[in-house]
Amino acid sequence: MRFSLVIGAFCLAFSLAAQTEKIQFGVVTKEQLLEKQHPKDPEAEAAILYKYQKTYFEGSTLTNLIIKTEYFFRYKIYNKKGFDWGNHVIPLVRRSNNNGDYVKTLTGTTLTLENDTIYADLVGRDNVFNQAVNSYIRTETVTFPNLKEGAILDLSYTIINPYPVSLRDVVHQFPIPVDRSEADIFIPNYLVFKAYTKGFEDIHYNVYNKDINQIYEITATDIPALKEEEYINNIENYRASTVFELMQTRYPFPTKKLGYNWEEVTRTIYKSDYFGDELKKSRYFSKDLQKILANNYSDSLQLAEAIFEFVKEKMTWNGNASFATFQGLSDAYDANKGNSGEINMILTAMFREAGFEANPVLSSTRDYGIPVFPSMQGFNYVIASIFLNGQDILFDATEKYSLKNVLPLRAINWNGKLMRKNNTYKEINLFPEDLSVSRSLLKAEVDENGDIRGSIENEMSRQFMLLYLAVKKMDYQNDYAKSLEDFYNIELSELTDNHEDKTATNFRENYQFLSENQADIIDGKIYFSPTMFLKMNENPFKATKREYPIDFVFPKSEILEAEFSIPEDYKVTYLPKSLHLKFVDDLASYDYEIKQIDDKIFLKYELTTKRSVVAPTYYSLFKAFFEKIVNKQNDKIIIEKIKS
Amino acid sequence: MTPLKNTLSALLLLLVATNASAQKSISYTRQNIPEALIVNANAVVRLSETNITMHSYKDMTVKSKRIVTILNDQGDRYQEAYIGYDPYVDIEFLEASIYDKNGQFVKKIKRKEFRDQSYGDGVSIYNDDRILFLSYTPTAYPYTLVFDSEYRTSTTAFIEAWYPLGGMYVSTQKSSYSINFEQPLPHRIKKSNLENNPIKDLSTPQSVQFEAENIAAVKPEGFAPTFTEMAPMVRVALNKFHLKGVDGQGDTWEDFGKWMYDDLLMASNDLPEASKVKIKTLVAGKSKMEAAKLVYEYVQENTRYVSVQIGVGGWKPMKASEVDRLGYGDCKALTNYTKSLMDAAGVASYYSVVYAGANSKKDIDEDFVAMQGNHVILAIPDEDDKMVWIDCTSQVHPFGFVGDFTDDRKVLLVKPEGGEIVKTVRYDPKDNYQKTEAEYRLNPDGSMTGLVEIQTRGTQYNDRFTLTQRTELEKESHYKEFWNYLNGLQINSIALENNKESVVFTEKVDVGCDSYATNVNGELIFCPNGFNQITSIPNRYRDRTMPLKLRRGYHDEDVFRIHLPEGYEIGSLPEGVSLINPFGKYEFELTQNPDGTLTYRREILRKEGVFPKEDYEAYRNFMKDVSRYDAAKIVLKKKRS
Repeated sequence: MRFSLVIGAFCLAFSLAAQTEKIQFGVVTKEQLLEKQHPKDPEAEAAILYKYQKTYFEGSTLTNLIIKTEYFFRYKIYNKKGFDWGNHVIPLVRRSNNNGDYVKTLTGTTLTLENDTIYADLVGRDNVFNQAVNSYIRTETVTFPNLKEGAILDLSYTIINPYPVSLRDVVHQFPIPVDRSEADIFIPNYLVFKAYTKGFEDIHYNVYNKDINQIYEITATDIPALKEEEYINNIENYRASTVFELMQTRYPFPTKKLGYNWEEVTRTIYKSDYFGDELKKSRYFSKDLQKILANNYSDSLQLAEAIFEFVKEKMTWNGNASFATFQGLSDAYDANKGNSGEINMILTAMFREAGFEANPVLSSTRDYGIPVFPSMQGFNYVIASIFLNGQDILFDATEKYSLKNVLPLRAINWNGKLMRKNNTYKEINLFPEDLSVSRSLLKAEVDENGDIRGSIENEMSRQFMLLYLAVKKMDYQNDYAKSLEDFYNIELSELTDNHEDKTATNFRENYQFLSENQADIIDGKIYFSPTMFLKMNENPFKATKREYPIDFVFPKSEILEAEFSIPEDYKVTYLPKSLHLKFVDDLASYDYEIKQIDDKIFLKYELTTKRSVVAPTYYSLFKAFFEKIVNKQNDKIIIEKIKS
Repeated sequence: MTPLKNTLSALLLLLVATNASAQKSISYTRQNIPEALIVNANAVVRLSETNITMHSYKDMTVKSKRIVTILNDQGDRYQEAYIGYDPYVDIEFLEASIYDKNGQFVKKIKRKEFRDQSYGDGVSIYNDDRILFLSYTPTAYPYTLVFDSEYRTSTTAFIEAWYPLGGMYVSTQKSSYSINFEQPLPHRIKKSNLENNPIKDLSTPQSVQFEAENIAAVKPEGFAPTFTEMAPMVRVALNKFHLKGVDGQGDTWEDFGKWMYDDLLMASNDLPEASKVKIKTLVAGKSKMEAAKLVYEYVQENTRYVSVQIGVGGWKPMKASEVDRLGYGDCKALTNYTKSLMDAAGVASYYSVVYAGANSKKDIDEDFVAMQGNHVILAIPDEDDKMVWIDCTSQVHPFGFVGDFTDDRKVLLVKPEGGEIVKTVRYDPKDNYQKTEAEYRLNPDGSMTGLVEIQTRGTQYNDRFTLTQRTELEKESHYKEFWNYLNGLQINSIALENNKESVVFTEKVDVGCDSYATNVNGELIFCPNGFNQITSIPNRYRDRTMPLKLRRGYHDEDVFRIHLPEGYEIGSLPEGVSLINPFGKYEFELTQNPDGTLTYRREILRKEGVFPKEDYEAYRNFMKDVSRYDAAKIVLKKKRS
C-alpha cells in the first residue's frame, strides 16, 4: 500500500511519550529524508534516529502475569550498504503449545522522497516472515518495502511475553549510531527490580512512583556505533544497555526475596536441589574413589591430581556450558558425560569425599560475557577448587589436557565466586597469574647457499601447552608436521613429542628442519635473520585507535635461544645490536641479546607480557612496542667469505 | 488356549527375544576394518544402503541404512544421521543406535531425541526446509553409529544421488544404491568419475543398481580440483517428475527449458502498466544496449536482495508486480523482474540458471537434463547476438560485468521456445589485470614516503571495487593487510575511483613507512618491490596424488620509481630475471636513470588450467622463485665524501 503524504494526513500516526519533541509514527520532514550522511558519524550506512520502548506488566496473580513491551524504531538508511537494516529481525521465545512470545499490532512504513513528494509504503502482512529456528527460538522478520537511499523506516510493534522469566535487556547501542534511545519501564509494586548499566556510555535514569508502579524513565542520546576490535574478550561486555534483575516478589504474590547481592545469589544457587543437594551425594562414585584412595598417596596434592586425572579420563564434556545439573550427577557419572556444571561438581564432590576442603566456583565463559550484577543469569559455568597449604587451586575437568590452575580459554574470564558449605563465598580471580612460557632452543648451521638446517626443541608450559595440545588433538592424520612445514615454509623431519605422556607438565617437541629461501645473498655476502622462521612477521596491532581494553588472555613469556655455526671459511661482518625494552608500569618487556663467541653466534630473546587484560590507554604504546620488536626480529646477521 | 497357539506365541516370544538380543551387538567392530581403510580416515562407512522405490512419477520412497565407525573426534562430522524435510515429505521412520568399538550395544536414539531445526541456508529470511538431525556426544572412540531412515515424498525432481565416497578423511567399506521402478518411468542416468574406483554397475532395465567396496580415504591437497569435481557419483532423473506440487518434464534441455518457461516463469511476468510506461519513458530514443543498461541501473537503484523460499517458490520466481511493489526479491524474483522490465523496454533477455560461486566454476551438467543450479542471472543478446550477462541481485556491479561469481561456466538459458546450454563470459588471465605504479622516496633514516596507484580490471576489479563501500578505518586496515610485509605502514590518504563504464577501478594511496630500509652496519638494505610482493608459496607434498588445478589466471604489471636517500649510492643491485613456463611468466628488471633514480619493473602472468600431478612440484618451484625474486634486496652504501 502506498500513500503520498500531506502533513497530518497520516491516519495511523500515534504519539509517543517522548520528553523533548514528539516523534510521531510516519511523520517526517523533507529535510530528514534529504539528509545524506549522519552528522556525527559520516560513514555510517544507517542510523537509528529514535528507539523507544514501553514495558509494563499485566495480570494480578503469578499464573496470569504477562509482560507487554511496545517498541518503536526509526531507522535512517544512508546508502545501499545500509539496506540490511531494512530487514528487522524480532527474536522470540518459542514454547510448545504455541504459548511462547508473540507479536501484536505490528505497523511499519518506508518513507521516501520522490519528486519532492513524501511517499509512505506500508509494511503488509506479506512482508513479515515467521520462522521457527529450533524448538526454543522463532523469529519474525519485517522486510521494509521499497527501500531507497535516504529512506526513513518507522516500525512499531508489541511483544507479549505470557511466561515472564525475566525482563529483556533494554539495548541502547547497535552497530550503527543511535541518536536517541528512550524507555519507560513500568514495574508494579508487587515486583522489585534493580537496574544496572552496561557499557561506557552515559545513560540517564529518572525513577519515580506513580499509582501502583515504579517507573524507570531511561534516556540515552548520541550513542556511537559499537565496533568490533581485535584482541577483545567479548564485545557484548561493552554494549551500552540497561539490564534488569528481579529482586523480590511481594503481596499479592507470595513474598519472596530473589537476591540482592552475590552473597544471596550464591546462597540461592547453593541451596537449590540441582546444586548443593547434588554435591552432597557420594554413593555413585564411592567405589571408584576407594580405588584411588587405595594408592595411599603420601602427598595431598598428588591425591588431588589423581582424582582430577580420573574425572578427566572418565568424563566427556558434551559441549554445554552450564552451572546447573540437568541429569543429576549420578546419571551424568554413569553416562560418562555431562555439562561443565556436572563434570566439575562431580570433581568437587569427590574431592570433598576424599577429605579436601573443596568448593565449586561459579563463573561465566568468555562467550557468555561478564556478569554486570549479582544474578543467577550471570553464571553459566562451574570450576572446582580445593584449598590446600594456604592456597586455592582451580581445576576444570571438561578439557582432557587441562592442569591444576591451567583452565581452558573459555573459562578464563574475570572473576569466579567460590562458594563454601557455610553459604559464604569469596571472589576468585580466574585470569592466570603465573607466566605461561614458550621456549625454543635452536641449533643451526648456515651453509654457503644461505640454506639453514638444524634442530629445534620447543617447550611449552601451562596455557601454551593447553593451546598446543588442542591443536595437536586435531592431528589424527599426521597433518600437524605438515602444517608446521607449511606454516614456517620449512622441510621438517624426525618430529617427536611427549604428548602421550599424560603426567608431563610441559609439552615438549623436537624436530630437524631445513630452511631454504630465508637468507639473502648479495655480492657474496649472506644476510639472514637469526630469529629465522620463528620471527614475528607483522605487528599484531595495526589500527591507529583503540576503544576497548586489550585482551592478552594470559601472562606469557616467549623465549628463543639460538646457536648458529657458519661455514669454516666465513667470518661474521655484522651482528645486530642488542636491544632491551621495558614497557611502562612493568606491563611487558623485550630483551634481545646477541653475541659472537669464537666461530659461533648466540642469540637469546625474551618477550614477556605480564597481564591478561590491559586498559586501552596503553594501546599506542603497545603498538610502538611491537613495531620495534618486529623491526628487531627482521634485523640481519651478515657473513662473508674470508678472502685468502 | 490351544497348544498350537501356545507354540506360536512361544515362537513369537522367541523371535522377539532374538531380535532384542540381536540389538545387543553387531559384527562391525574396530578390529575388522581392513587396514587400508584406516589410512587417512577419521571415519569409516562400514555400510551404506540407499534403496529408492519409484511408485509413480510423483511418489517415491527412500529407505536408507548407514553404519559408520567413527575413529576420533574429527570423524564426528560423519555421523550424518539426519533427514531434510519440507511439507511435501513424510518421514516414515528414523532411528539410530550406538555401539562401542567391540560392537557392543550402547544406546538407542529415537526420533523424538533428534533435533528439529530450520535448515538455514544462511541467506534466506524464510525457507520451509527443515532438518531432523542427531548430534551425539560420544564418550569413547572408536564407536559405531547405525542410522536407519525412510521417507516418502511427492517431489521427484531431486532424487538422492549416490556418492560412494562421502568426503575427505572418510573411507567406505561397502556402499550400495538402487532404484526400483514399480512402473516403467523413462529416466536418465549420469555417472561421474566411476573409472578407477571399485564400483560395479548391476543395473537392469527395471532398476538402477550400483555397488562399491573398499574405497580408501583421501586427504585434501592445495591447488587441486574440488572434492565434488573428483568424487565418484551416480545421479538419476525422471523425464516426467513432480516438484512441490507442480508437475514437470523434459528429457532434453529444450523441453526442460520450455517447461520452466511455461510453468514457472510465464505467470510471473505481470508488470503493471504504470511501470511499463515508466520504463518506456526512461529508455525512449535509446539504442538497445543503452536501454538495457538503463533498465539494469533502474533495478539496482530500486530493489534489494531478500531471500524467501516457500514451496515451489524455491524454484518459481515471485511475481514481477510484487517485486515492483515491494522493491525486493531473491535472485529468481529480481531476474524475472528485470526481464519483465527489459520486455517493456523492447529488449530481449533470457532468464539463466547457473551454479554460482567464485571458488569453483561449476557447469550445469549438459548431459544430465534435470533440476540444477543454485542461482539465476540474466542474459541479454547484443547486436551480434553475443550474450551480455548481468546479476540482478547486485546493486553495485557495472552493467555487463558478473565477476568471478558466475563467469566462464555452462548455464541453462530459458527461452520461450525452450532451453539451451550456453557458456557465460570468460575472463582471460590477461583480462584479470592489475597495474601498479608507484613513486617513492627513501630517506637516510630508512623511512619511506610514496604514492601508489593501482588500476584493476576483470576479476581483480571484482576483488577491489567494493572498497568504496567501506569506512575509512576499514579501508586503512585493508591496505595494512594487503601490504602486511611492510612493518609500521602508515596510510596518509586514500582516493578511490570506480569507473563503471570501462570497468576499471583506480586506487591512489599515499603511504609512509618508518622502517622501510634496514640499517645494517651502516648500509641501507631494502626491497625495491614494495607494493606487489608474493610472499606465500604453495605447500609441499611429498607424494602428490591430485592433479594441479590453477583456477583463475591473472596478469600484473608494476612500475616503481625509487628516489634514493641523500648521501647514499648503490652498493649492490639484484640482477633482473625472466622466467617462462607452462604456468605463466615472470620477469623483473631494475634500471638506473640519468637523474639518479631507479626504476623497478615487474610483470607476472599466471595462466589457468589443469596439469598432471607431476607438474605440481614445478609449479611450486616457480612460485618459490617468484617469492624469492620479489624479496630481492638493494644495498646502499654511504657516499665517500
